[in-house]
Amino acid sequence: MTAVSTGVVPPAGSVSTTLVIEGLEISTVHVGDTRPLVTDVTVSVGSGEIVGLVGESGSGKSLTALACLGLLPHGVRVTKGSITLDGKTVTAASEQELRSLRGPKIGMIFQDPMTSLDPCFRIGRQMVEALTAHEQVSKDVARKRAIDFLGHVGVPEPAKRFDSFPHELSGGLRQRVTIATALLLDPHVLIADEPTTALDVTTQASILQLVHRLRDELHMSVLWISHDLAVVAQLADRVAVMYAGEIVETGDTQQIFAAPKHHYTRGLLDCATHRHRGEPFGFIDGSVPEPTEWATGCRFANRCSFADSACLQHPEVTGSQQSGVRCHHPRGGGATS
Amino acid sequence: MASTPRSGMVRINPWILVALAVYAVAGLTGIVVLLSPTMNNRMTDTDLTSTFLHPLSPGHPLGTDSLGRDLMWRLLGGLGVSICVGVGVALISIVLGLALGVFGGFFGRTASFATGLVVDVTWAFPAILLAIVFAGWLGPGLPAVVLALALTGWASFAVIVRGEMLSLRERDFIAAARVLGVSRLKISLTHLLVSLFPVTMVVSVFFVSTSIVAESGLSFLGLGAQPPTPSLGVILAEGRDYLSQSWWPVILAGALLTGLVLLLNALADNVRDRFDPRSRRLQ
Amino acid sequence: MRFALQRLAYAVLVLFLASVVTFFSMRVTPGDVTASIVNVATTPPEVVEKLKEQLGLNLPIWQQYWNYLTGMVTGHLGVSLVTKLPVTTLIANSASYTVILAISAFFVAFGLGVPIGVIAALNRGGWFDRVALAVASFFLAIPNFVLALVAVLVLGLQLRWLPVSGSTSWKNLILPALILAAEPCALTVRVGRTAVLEQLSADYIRTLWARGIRQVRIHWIHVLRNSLSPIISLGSIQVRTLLGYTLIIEVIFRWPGLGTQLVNSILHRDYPVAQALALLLAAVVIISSALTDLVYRWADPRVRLSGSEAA
Repeated sequence: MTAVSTGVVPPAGSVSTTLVIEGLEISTVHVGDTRPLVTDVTVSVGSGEIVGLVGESGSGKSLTALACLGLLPHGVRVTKGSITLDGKTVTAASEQELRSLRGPKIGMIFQDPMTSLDPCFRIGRQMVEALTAHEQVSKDVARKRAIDFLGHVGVPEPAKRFDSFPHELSGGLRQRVTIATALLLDPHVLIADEPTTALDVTTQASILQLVHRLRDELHMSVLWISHDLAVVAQLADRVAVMYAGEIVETGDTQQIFAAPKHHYTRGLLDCATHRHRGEPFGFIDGSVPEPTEWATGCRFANRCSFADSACLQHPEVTGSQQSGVRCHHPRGGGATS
Repeated sequence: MASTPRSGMVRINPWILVALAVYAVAGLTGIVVLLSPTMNNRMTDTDLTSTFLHPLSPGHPLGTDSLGRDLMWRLLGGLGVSICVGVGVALISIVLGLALGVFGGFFGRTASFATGLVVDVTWAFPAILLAIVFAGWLGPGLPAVVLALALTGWASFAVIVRGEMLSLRERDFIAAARVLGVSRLKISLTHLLVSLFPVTMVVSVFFVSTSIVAESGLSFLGLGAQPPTPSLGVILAEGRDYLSQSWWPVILAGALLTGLVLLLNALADNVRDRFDPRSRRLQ
Repeated sequence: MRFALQRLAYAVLVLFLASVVTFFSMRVTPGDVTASIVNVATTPPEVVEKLKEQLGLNLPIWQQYWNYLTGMVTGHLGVSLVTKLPVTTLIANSASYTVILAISAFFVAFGLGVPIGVIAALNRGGWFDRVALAVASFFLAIPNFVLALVAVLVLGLQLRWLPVSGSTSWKNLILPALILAAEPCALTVRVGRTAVLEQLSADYIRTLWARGIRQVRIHWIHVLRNSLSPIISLGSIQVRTLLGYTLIIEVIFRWPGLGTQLVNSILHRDYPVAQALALLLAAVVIISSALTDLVYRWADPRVRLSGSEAA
């Protein structure tokens, strides 16, 4: 049961190991009351690709990520669409099947390195635990592989660090450990949910460097989630922009940054870019609406200076999956739906 | 993302307030009758011709005890005594705890260490022990009990106050206010009292609950209220000696006491939820 | 290691102060032990004086304290003024009873309380959770002497299942131990449950899920291990209250332990026994508190780095 993703052409000669999210809708489900939190999300990550998923907090990007591993919180569920991993449908899998996927097929690293490791156990032991949960290897073999990987991700004195407790390591080191543990299981896709947000700029840069290197060496697919455009610009091959629970623009990184089609994207770029001295910082009036406040038409309309009566209609995505925009009046012209 | 928390303030459950009112009225009646020279004989008159009467007997709605005394009046009086002592001890503990906590928190590391030391020494002796000693000294009775309970009760609260005081001292707004020339002690005290208010409320209710139980326990052992003064503990002790013949004094007094504690615990939970709705999540 | 030494040194300091308190509080009270030995009304005063001298009661108070202190440290606890038996013998006899009672209660409280609390948390909102919480609230509210009386009434007298006083067989232990364990057990259920619930929503648990680790392992190894700290600090507070309750329970059930002995010795002004026992009690509390602090630091490695504030 393979979901056909429109417009994705895998690079010649490679296996098409992909993560395909198609028309995803996630909602909170209470008795008799279903509220959508994420609607109509379609994104895919090809083999060896880094796709950036950009959006502010509340845009639904983290939920989308969690859905890929079947880790949505209590009371939140996928209500439409599908997620396919290497051809296997995640959204329809049983808990057993999901457990075998998590780790070896799809890995995830999280934002806060301070709290994402169990404080009571040494990091080496946690790494070995992750490995032995999926492979039949002896503790010694596991230990060796873990130490190797720690060195690989740039942890100094890996054999010594193997026996450290999480709190004995700095934030940057902890993230490296988390990355190492995720990669130890050799996943086909790695989802990174803002892993550098909580780190200072220099540490952040070194982690990004690491990810670049690893992607080149391991030919891994990465879905990198961030609100930080600068990070995404450096790292991703393609970018998808999320706003208020839906995708508003997708495209090549260069294209998006040079000529964004959606007004929200433009606004984001304005906020983030350096200005020459004397010019005001850009900002977008208003704030991101809660799911309960979503307009039935275009959800960005109330903050958009180009909105008109046509925007009372909810816009669909125009263009291809590789390069699309959800807007009635995209920048640079283009069809209105 | 996820579900929105329930909005709005948590009100104190009206049923709790109703039950509290009932207990308060009953206790008050008991105290009034006990203290009135003309009426307190209802609690203390013995009548050896009508001992061990069952509840719902004519003239004695809750029966009589081994000496023929009417149980209903004795229970009311006992309730009053227990409540009064409980509230009194709680008040003293709170005041003492505040005073020592402020002292320990405000006046530097030596004061903090000294307070901690006193707390730890106090903690080493259970209240019962002190009560026995004081009973030996002052003679058994309510004064000994009150003294013993008050001297052991303040410690846990003092630690909380001290902790809060210590953290307040470090805060930036203290420095800011000082620049304006206000005395540091005054600022700290004001902010302390405001920030401690919720905790104090919850702790007070707990103290009342534990003090009432402690008083009953000590009276049960013979160290507290002396006959003929009724106290829930005394009634329990008297009932115990004749357990095989009449079970109702014990059950009635026990139920009354347990009910009061359940009520106070529920109130404390409620008050805490009101001031800190976050803790609701885990209930 | 340094922390351990500091903590123990502090404990010794507290113990020393406690000894001062125990000693002087007894002496301050009026009346003395002579009344328990002879009938003061009928005995001529010279004989009473001679008795006092024999018992060392005429020495200046500071000397008496010094004798007491050195005695405590060297193990010469003196002789009971009433029964003339060495205090150490008396303590040894009753200590075993109290220890058995306390330890049984402790095991019941934690052995039952922790699993129930954990299972309740894992089944949050389910029937087990609700029942466990309700029952725990009840046992937390009912004072232990009331519970004891009800238990005696129902199980002892009406149903005649269990003996209600004395210490002739192991069956005598059941009621006192269960009653003693009731409140600590209920508290452990509540605290354990809350601790587990807090851990269940922690970030690192999400990481473990994302690695595909089995739920059983996540719950019963990771969550449980992280929930230990609050449970352990509960244990420290419990020791204190448990000690106080043990006294009452022993008296109610006429269990011949240190509690009944302490009560009697104070009422009879039998100083050596009373002081030794009171100090012993205090020592148990102080030392267990210090031990708990040390165990707490082991259980939560994060605390090891930052020094914990002196109590």
